[in-house]
Amino acid sequence: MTTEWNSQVICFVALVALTAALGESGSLRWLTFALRSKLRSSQQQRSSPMGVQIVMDRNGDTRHEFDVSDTTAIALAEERFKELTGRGFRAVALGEDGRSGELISKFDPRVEETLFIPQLQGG
Amino acid sequence: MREHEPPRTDAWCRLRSWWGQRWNSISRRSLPGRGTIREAHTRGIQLLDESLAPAQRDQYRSCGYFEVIGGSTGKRYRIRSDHQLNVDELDKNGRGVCVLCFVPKGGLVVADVMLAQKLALELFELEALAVAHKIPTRYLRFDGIQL
Repeated sequence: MTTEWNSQVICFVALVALTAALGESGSLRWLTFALRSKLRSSQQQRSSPMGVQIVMDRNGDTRHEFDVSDTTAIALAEERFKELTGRGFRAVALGEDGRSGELISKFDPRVEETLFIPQLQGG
Repeated sequence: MREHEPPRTDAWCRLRSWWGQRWNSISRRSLPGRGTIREAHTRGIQLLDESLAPAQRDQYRSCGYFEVIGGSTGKRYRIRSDHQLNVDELDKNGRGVCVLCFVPKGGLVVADVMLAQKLALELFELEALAVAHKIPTRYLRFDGIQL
């Protein structure tokens, strides 16, 4: 019984010492960083493409992201599209690398970034 | 303290402190949605920066304005950093013909206004021109400054 108890204590002390040593040298941090990176990359591989609706407002802009493989999210995004265009917003599918993109009048879940511009008025 | 520096009076220090407090309270004032006015401006500038073409971005960074080609008429426009009266229609020599005034509704930050104007002129120019107020440049020469 005593021998078993002693071995458990020794194991615990050894584990504490090892953890402290690894932490001191920065290896533990490196290990956790590597594990987190691996986890993140596997999550990215598994995650489906996202669409984003950017609405210009007084806060600069508000972004609504949605998963293009999720039918509920798509339905919500379509509803938002209809509501905003109904209020006079113009929807623009943003082009890559600063190209102006194109004006869209119908919701398309394949568009990655849609920018909503409020109605224009004479200044 | 150096000799050539003017002596700082108590009134001057109090004035500076008062102004600093006022400025901080204005810039940190919360908007109805989220964040502060400063954050809204930062967000707007970031979106504008992402949405400009490389040439426009360079021009904006170096000159404070960028040029746009109208999607329907092919005319050149210069969008300056301001809330209103900030779009110049240019002639073939790059001189201002008239100033256009049109803005998106909703009290947007300057960068968002500029981006909306850019996209409007590139994608639905005629619609933008229909709502814009046009002021010939000759009426906007103040103290010898030609726009």
